[in-house]
Amino acid sequence: MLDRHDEQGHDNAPPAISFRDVVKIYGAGAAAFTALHGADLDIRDNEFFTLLGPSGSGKTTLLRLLAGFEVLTSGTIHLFGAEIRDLPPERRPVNTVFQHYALFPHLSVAENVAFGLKRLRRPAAEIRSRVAEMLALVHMEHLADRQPGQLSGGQQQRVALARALAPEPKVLLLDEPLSALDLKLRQAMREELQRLQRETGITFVFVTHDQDEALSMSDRIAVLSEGRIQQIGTPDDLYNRPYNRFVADFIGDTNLLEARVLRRSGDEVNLRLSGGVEVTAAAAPGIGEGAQVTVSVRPENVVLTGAEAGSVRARLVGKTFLGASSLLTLALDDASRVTVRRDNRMGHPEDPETGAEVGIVFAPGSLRVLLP
Amino acid sequence: MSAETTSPPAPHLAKRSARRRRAFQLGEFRGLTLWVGAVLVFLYFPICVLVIYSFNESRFAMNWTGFSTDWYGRALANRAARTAALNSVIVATCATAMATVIATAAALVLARRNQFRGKTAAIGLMSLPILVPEIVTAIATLIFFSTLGIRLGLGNLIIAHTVFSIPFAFMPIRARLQGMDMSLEAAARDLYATPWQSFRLVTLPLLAPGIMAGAMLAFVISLDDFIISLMVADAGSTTLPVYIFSMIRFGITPEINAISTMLFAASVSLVTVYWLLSRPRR
Amino acid sequence: MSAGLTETPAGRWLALGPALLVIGVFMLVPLGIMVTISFMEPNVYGGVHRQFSPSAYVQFLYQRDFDDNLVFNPGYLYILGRSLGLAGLATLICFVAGFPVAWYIVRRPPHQRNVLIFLVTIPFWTNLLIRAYAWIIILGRDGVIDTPLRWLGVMGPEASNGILYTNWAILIGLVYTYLPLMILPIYASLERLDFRLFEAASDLYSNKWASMRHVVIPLALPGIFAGVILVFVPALGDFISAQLLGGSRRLMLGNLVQLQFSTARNWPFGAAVAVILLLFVVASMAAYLRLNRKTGLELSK
Repeated sequence: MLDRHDEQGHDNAPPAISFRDVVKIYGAGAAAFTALHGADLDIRDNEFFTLLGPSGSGKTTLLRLLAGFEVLTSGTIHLFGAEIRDLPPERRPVNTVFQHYALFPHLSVAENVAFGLKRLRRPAAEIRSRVAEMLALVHMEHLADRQPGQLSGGQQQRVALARALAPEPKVLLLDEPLSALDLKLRQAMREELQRLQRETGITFVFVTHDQDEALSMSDRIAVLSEGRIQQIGTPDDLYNRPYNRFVADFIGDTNLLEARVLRRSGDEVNLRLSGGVEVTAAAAPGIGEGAQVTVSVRPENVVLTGAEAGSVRARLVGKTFLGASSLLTLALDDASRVTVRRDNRMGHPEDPETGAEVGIVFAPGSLRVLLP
Repeated sequence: MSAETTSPPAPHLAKRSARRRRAFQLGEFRGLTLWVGAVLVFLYFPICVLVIYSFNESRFAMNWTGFSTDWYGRALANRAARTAALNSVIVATCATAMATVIATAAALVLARRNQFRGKTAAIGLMSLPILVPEIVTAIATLIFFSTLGIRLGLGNLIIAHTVFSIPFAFMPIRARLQGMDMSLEAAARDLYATPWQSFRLVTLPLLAPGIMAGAMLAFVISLDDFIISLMVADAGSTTLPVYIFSMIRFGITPEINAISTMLFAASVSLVTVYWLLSRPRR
Repeated sequence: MSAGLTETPAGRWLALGPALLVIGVFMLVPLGIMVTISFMEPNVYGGVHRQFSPSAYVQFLYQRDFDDNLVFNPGYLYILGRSLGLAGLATLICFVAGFPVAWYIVRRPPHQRNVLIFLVTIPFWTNLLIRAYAWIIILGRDGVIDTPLRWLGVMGPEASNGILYTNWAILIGLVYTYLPLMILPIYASLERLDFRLFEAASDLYSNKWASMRHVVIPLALPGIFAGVILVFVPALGDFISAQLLGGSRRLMLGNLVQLQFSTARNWPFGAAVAVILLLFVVASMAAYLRLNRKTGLELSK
């Protein structure tokens, strides 16, 4: 539905996974709940792809449909060109790392890792060597004979990874795998996951509600909200070129300003902000002259100037010190608020006092018109 | 998005895939519902037959000749059956009262998480009446009473029923206690209640549903007991199940069905009350 | 709970006292007397001679012929065998019939689960005697099963009592009586099972049968063991099914015991059979506790 035009240019290989018009409705009648309203999505081979969204956005449903744990209400899912909607999970070449790992408590670490290989009836010698290889890959070879209950959260996480990677799936699904870990471990595991993805060359589909996780690890991200895909793109796309109000607001901090379109020229439009200032912003096609729109600008792209030098006049009403930077809250003439991020580099000019009259300018190209 | 993937599939294909899709609904097994239905039929079929034939007009239990409630009238007018029923109720009431009090006191100790010497042994002893086969309990009790020459009429039965009802009264009371907020009583103590006051004003009211449930269970167990009553009861203290047993020996009649149906209805009502009491509140 | 009243040793034993006393005096002591009597000899009046004798146990295996020699008599061993066989078979059938029911119930939404469990327990709380009696009506001559079978010509007129008074009838009675005791503990252990483990198994290439075998059943073992013991032990000591559905000639241990205290009036022999029955119960319990500890350790390790 969106940004498909810029996707097509990247490569011509068929997508590893493609969702078409995927609808999932739980329950029936009055209690029916629509978890996905017709999602379209292509995931490329060998990609670290993230489904990002708040809880209830449909990201986990999408993953579970791909794994085969849920049945599609309508639509299709193709895996390397083959339709898989009617295949049970055990016949799909995908494996899952579960949110709380779902390790089999009655089996040892090695038996857990060997589980899928045994069901696939691989020869015993192959299973042994593959299990050893996987445990080495996640640095767990010394704990092969432990029971899952004897492991720490981080160790269980590694076993779950080894177990899911052992059968050499074409796609690895990760359902918020880091959410149960503490902060430090979570950061270490991010790098570990990126390493594993590079080393194995497997397509990773990663589900998270944590934007930092998504931005730091992914090749591309799909942002979901209320059962709809809001935007698909690289981390840079999502941060710097948010498509609509939800994406701009959900990822990072942003200022949202009301404006009216004056003129359109190519990909850009001239706008008049509600305070009366005229600016230029990037805009998607379909935003015509006269439209009332919302414009997004990141706090770091708002530059503080002297009261007379800026293109907009404002008054400083609040300051928050964050260490490396500070956030300054400004009130514009029309009472709307703008947040400015300022570096706290040594030798940087001091922040003005609260109540001071200041001016601001927007960094060139930093304003973006959002779709509602 | 290409046109052919989103266009609806031909009707016959859609139907087939709908069927295939059902097949892999995770954790669903084909025929499972049928299996469960068959088991439930197996469980209820005999009871239904029993109840239906209690309304049979014919005096031979097997031949259905027409609907009639005469056998209920006959059963209710049957003096021996009424005496037996009265005995059953007296025994069950006395045994339930004693078993419930005894079990409540024991549960107050054994439901706590702390360990003390003899706790495991005490729990073991509490569950002994469930573990020992009923026929063994029955003859052991018979030997005991006759060796010591204890002849209390219904009293013998009441003692025997009390013993095997204790574990059944104990279980729901202990379950209720284990689910209770342990800090409530401490809060009462903190608010200047004496131990006895905090027990009477806090623990006991909260425990009441558990005690009621335990009492119901004990009552049903006692009311339905047959083997122990058969062995321990003397001629003058026949209970209803023992009386039914003696009737069955002379052949099956709709009157037995009618008496059995009434006993069944009594048990089911009590168990339903128990179920409603012991259900977790929401 | 009830801190203060039952937290001191004195209060504790005061509260526990009545239960322990009642069960001790009216259960443990009678069992002791029963064991003692099993080592005595019967007198002709139905009482006992108060002197030690193993004769009751000897009688279980041997009988005296006309020359007063002990001759091996397998009659009572048959009864023991029938009891073990029928109890074992009933346990197996209960498991096969009951496990899918427990699984089905666990997979329902919570409010349906409660109702289904209630439906399963209702027959269990109704009178044992009535339950067996209902089967007489169904299985007996001109009964609900018998009549159509006869009418269809499946069963000839020579089968005078249908399948009533056969081992099959006893088996049906046992399964019917104890099936809820298999379903409930299996249900309890399946309810604790995390369904994501089933998902994980199917994700790792197990079809649903393999997921059952390799994940669900191993994790439900504590419940299965409990169900097996809850069915096997009372089935082994059953009295009513054999009495009403097995006729007078197909005894189980329970009937043999009862017979010695009614018509046969041989207390020591009855007590001895009861002790033998009790030994099998204790052995089953010991095996159960052992198995349970082993799997429990494995799961908690």
